[in-house]
Parts: sequence; structure tokens; C-alpha cells
Amino acid sequence: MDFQPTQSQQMTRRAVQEFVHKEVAPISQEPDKTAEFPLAMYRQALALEVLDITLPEALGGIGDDFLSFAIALEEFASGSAALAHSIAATEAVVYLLSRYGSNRQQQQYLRPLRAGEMFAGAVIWDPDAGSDPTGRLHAFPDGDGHRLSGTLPHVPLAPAAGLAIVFAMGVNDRISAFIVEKQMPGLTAAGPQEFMGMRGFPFGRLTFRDVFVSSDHRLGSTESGSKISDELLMRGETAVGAIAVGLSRAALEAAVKHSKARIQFGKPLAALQATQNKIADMAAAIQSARLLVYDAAFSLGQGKPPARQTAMAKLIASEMAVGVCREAVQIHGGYGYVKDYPVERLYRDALFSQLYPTVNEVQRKAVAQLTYRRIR
Amino acid sequence: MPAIEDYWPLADRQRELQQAARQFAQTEIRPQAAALDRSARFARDIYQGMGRQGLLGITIPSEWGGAGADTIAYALVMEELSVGYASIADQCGLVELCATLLHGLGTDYQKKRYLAPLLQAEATCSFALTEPDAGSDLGALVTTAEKTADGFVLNGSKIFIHNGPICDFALVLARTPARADGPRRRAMSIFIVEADTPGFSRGAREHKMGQRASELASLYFKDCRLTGDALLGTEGDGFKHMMMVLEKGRIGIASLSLGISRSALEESLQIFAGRVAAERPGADTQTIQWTLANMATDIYAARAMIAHASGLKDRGIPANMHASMAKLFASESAVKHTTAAVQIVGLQGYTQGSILERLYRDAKVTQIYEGTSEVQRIIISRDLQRNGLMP
Repeated sequence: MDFQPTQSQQMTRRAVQEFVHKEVAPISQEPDKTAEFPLAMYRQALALEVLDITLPEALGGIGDDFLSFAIALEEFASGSAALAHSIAATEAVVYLLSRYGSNRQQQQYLRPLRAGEMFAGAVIWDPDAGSDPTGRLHAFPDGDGHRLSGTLPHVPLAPAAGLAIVFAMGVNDRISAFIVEKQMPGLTAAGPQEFMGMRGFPFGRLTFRDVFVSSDHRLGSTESGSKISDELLMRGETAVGAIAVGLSRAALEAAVKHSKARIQFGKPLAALQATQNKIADMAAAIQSARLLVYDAAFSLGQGKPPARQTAMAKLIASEMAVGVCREAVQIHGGYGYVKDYPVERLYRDALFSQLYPTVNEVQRKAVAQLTYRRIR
Repeated sequence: MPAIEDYWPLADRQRELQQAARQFAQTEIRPQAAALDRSARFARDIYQGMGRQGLLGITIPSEWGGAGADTIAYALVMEELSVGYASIADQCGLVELCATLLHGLGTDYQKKRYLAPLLQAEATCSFALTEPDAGSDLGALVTTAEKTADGFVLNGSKIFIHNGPICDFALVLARTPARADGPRRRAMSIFIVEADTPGFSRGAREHKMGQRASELASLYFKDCRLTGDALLGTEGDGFKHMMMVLEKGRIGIASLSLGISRSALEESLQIFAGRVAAERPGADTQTIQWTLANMATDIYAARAMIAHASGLKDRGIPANMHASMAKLFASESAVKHTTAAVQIVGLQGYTQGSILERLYRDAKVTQIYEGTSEVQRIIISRDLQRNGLMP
């Protein structure tokens, strides 16, 4: 692996940094307060062409690799993790359409998605349904299409989205991917759900009652659902890892600044060994998670099956984020527990990374399986 | 889960209070906890209910309206109330500290005027130590009481004061002139400041992450004229007086933290019992079993540490180090296990309205207030160097 960022990766980072500094940082607490999707901020971010980073040139994109996108996400998350998640959720749909979509599907959806006129979320097929066992969809063949039944309890962007990519189990337990639209008869969306944190990244519940989906709304072939879902999961894991790193950087920065300004026992907290130890551990943990995320993102771009790296990156980065934010609050003392200080929000936001797109149990299982396969 | 009385013989009075608190938590507190978290307001009705049930002033003699019990009983009550909702236990703890100071140091006049109505829940109190620049470092206090012919004039401010927005009176630690035979850097005194004293004002209500029904605000004192009756205890010995109750305070917060962990475990067990009954996959995995086992183990360990520290204190043995250890361990456990509980439940436990979601937010401050984890480590380490490990 080459650790030297390419010129375009450096440019991406700088562009997003500048955007975050100017547009996001001053209002980074807003989505948490209002619990509303930060639409204006989101559209401004899309104007940086972030959804085009990994999109092939043939479809009007830039055709860069996933690492470039992960770097962008990390930077967005250092200002607003909720914004970064919204971008990542949409990018996943854009990617699936570009990779598996038919010409019609691409023509119909890609432009409005990239312009921020349409929103979409995708939900992986979880074979264990470990995260929430009720989250299952079933597909029954019906004429020129399928009828979908079941419930998806937590669908990203569902309240705002006109579109979702979902997976359902059909005959012979085969998993297929479908593009569903809000106005389809029998499909109801409820939400937004009120989460503890990540409150600018809305979720909703989708309930399917015999929703007819014609064959031109199927994504990929009937057999390819599992593979598409795996790919979606790997990208999701890497994105969550990158966002966890960016969010943790914000917590570290706040902790460093506070510890320098706060005088106790006649000197700044930063002069105390206990504080320095905390800061050192936080910085080292962030950097180790960051390298794992970059490794996963780099491997994703190489077309090798990188399941182990992406799962490891998500596992380590999310638990790192919770620990780093916990210490950042601790360094703030009472100040860290009141809402005027960003670390209060970061502590609530960080926990989300351990639960989405699946609980970390799923990542542990994947890493264990692959490790056992590797070491015989 | 086995209750403490199953393996540890309690005196009748201790058991009686524990049962009363448990009953009160189940019927009066728990049904309101979610609404209180949302509204973020002081629960006056529950507070008055605690007064009626005799759940305020657990270690204060009954002639003053207290329960006349010991520190162990106090710890048990705090744990049970906190299983209901930590912010309610917080009120019990606050009253206990203020009442202990008033009872131990107060004149008859002060006890009649402040202690009696406090234990009847007719009055609310604040315990005002922390300042913007004096948190862990109380030696940096700058609130000052200047002596006048007929009393004192108080100037300064306090921050993050529980009950700040609603208290009827506050016990305020302030600098006073050093006595010839008294401490210098810590020449401080405690003052009882009534909320209608001219020059007393409150800051805006703080918006907090958790324990949201414990209202928090700054208190400001601008040329507050206090009579001699406002001085509690010996002039110049305020710091020492405060230190005496902090031991009890730490045992109280250790128990409150334990209550949060217990609540998280009870809720998790209930969720997984439901999932197993519904034969949903993934509900009986080893990950979940391990998590629950670790929670329960730490709950018993914290309880033993609290019981040990309380027992020492009740026998008149210094419990400084043990109270700090109990507080450190119980609060770190509460944070660890509320995180783990949300983790095994998934996004359902991250959604507002779920008990685990609230507990995760409620837990974090236990590592911060009543002496941060860092301060506890300093206390423990200092004690170790002075006295070794025993008792």
C-alpha cells in the first residue's frame, strides 16, 4: 500500500476542509438541536461534487477511488458527522446504481440524486438480522415482477427519501435487490425516528404490504442480491470508519484546546501528566483507526475482496470513537456535560458508529470467520 | 436477580428503608422517568412524595424529621431510587449532604429554619462549591465573604449548581479572612444563603446531556448582605466541614451509579427475555451472555465496595479511600455497561424513549460530579501513600 496521498486526494481533502471551516463549523451544532436533515448544508456539500468522486467518467463522474471519498467523509465528519453520514448514504445508492443499474435506472435516478433533488437510502441484507431481527423483507414472484412484504425498521434518509434500495428473500432463499419508490401502493414510511445522537441524519421505518415492484425496478440479477448487499456493507463499514475518525478528530481538538485553556491546581490541565496520557492515547487510537480505514478504503478501490479490512476498520474505528469522545468529555469535566460544548454532542454521536450499518457483532463475526479461514 | 438481602443480613431498619425506596421507585419514579428526561424539570411532586415516605435525610435523627438510620441504609436507598431515575436519587443525595451539614453544624435556630422544612420536602436546597475556575481544584475558590459589623457581605459566583434554578436556599462555600490558628489557603466558611436575599441571582438553566431532571444553573452573589446567622459551623473551617460530608457524598454517588448499572441490566434482561420468547435469532448469543455476565459481576463488586465503605463509616473508621474507590469503580462501571447495553440491543437502544438510551446519557456525569474520576484517583493514591492499603 502506498501511504503517499495522490494529488487529487490532497485536493479533495483541502477542498472539504475549507468547506467545513467556512460553512459547517459555524453551524455544526444546528442539526443536533433541530433534529432536522441539514438540507442547505447537504446541497452545498454536493456542489463540491463529492458524489462524483467514485462515479465512473462514462457516467459523468470523476472516476477516482474509494479512498478519495473516504478522505472526504473524514473531513466532513470533523465538522458534522450527521452531514457526512447523509452523504455516505446517498453515495452508496449512487454507487449501486452505477455498478448494477440498468440504463433506464441510471438515467432516471443518478442526475436528481447527484443534484440533491432526490434522496435515497439503502439497507443491507443481514443474514442473521443481528441488529434488529424484525428487519426482514420477503419477495413473492407475481407476473412481470415481485410483491414485497415485511418491515425495515431503520432506513437511512427514509423520511426525506423518494427512493430506497432494499433486499428481499425470494424463492429458494435467494436474495434480490429492488429499487422502491415512495409512492408505490402498499409502501408506508414512518419517521423520522428520534435518536440519541447523529440527529441530522434522519431514519424512518418502511412497511411493505404487498408492494408490487416490476422487473425494471430490480437491481442486478435475481442471483446477485447477496453479493450486492455484501458490497454495500463493505462500503458502509468503511464509510462509518472514516466518519468515526473525523468525529474523533473533532473531539480530540476540542479536548486539546480546553486542556490548554483550563487552569486547575495553578496550571493548565494540559500540564498534568494524567491529561497528557489521555491525549496521547486518544491521538494514537485515532491514528491507528485511521490507517485501518485508509487500508480498507484503498483495498475497496483495488477490486480485491477486502471484507476483513472493512469489518476491522469499522469495528476498531467505532469503538475508538466512543472511547475518545468519552475521554474528551472527561477532560472537559462539567463543561463536557452541557450542550454548549460540542463534546457533549460528540459523545452521543459516537455511539451511533457501533450500531450502524449493523451492530459491531456482525463485524466481529466476519473478522472471526475470515481469520479462521486464513489460519488453518 | 438476587437482592442484597439474600446474601447480606440487613438490620430491620435498613431493610425497611430499602423496601420503601424500591416500592417508591417502582410506583412513583419509573413511570415518570421518560417524561422527566424530556421536560428536564425538577419533579416537585416526587420530591414531596419522598418527604412523605421518609426518604429524605436517611442518616439524620428522627427528632429532626430524618430516618435516623446509618450510611448503609442511605446507600441502599440511593441505589433503589436511582434504579427508578438517577435525577430523583440526586435529590435525595443533595438533601442528605445539606442536612448532614445543617444537623452537624447548625444552631438550633438554623436547624428549625432550614433542616426541618428540608426534610419535610417543603424546601429545596443547593450545595454550592464549584466555581468557573475552581472545579476539581477547590483551593482556587474566589467567592469571598467579607466581614462587617453585623455579619458578612458575599461576592462571587458558582457554576453547575444542582437545583440552582429552583433552590430555596444554598449552602455556599466562600473565602473568609484566615484565623490566626486556622488554615490559610483554605480559609473558607459555609454560608446559608436564602434565595430572596438581595444580590442573589440565578443564571440560565443549563441544557444537559443526561440526568436532565436535575436542574443546573450558575448562582451569582453581588454584595449579598448576610447576618451572622447565615454562617454555618466555625468560621474558617468551611473547607474542613465540607470534606467531612464528601465521604458520604461519594458513597451516595457510587450507589446512584450502581442503580444506573442495575437498571441497564434489568432492562437488557427484559429485552432479551422477550426476544428469546419470540424465538428471534441472535437473542441468545454468547456476546449477549458475556455482556450481561460482566454487568452483573461489576454490579455485585460495586455493591460490596459500597457496603464496605459505608460499614467503615458507620463504625467511625475513616472511609475516605474506600468511598473514593467505590465511587470510582461504580461510576466507571455505569458508563461502561450502559454503553455495552446499547451495543447489544442495537439502534432500538439508541432511540429516544428507550430506557437504555437515557441511561447511557445519565451515566456519564457520574464520572464527573462529586469529584471526577481523576480526583478520586488522587485521593486514593494520597491515602495509600499515607496509610497503606488497610483497612
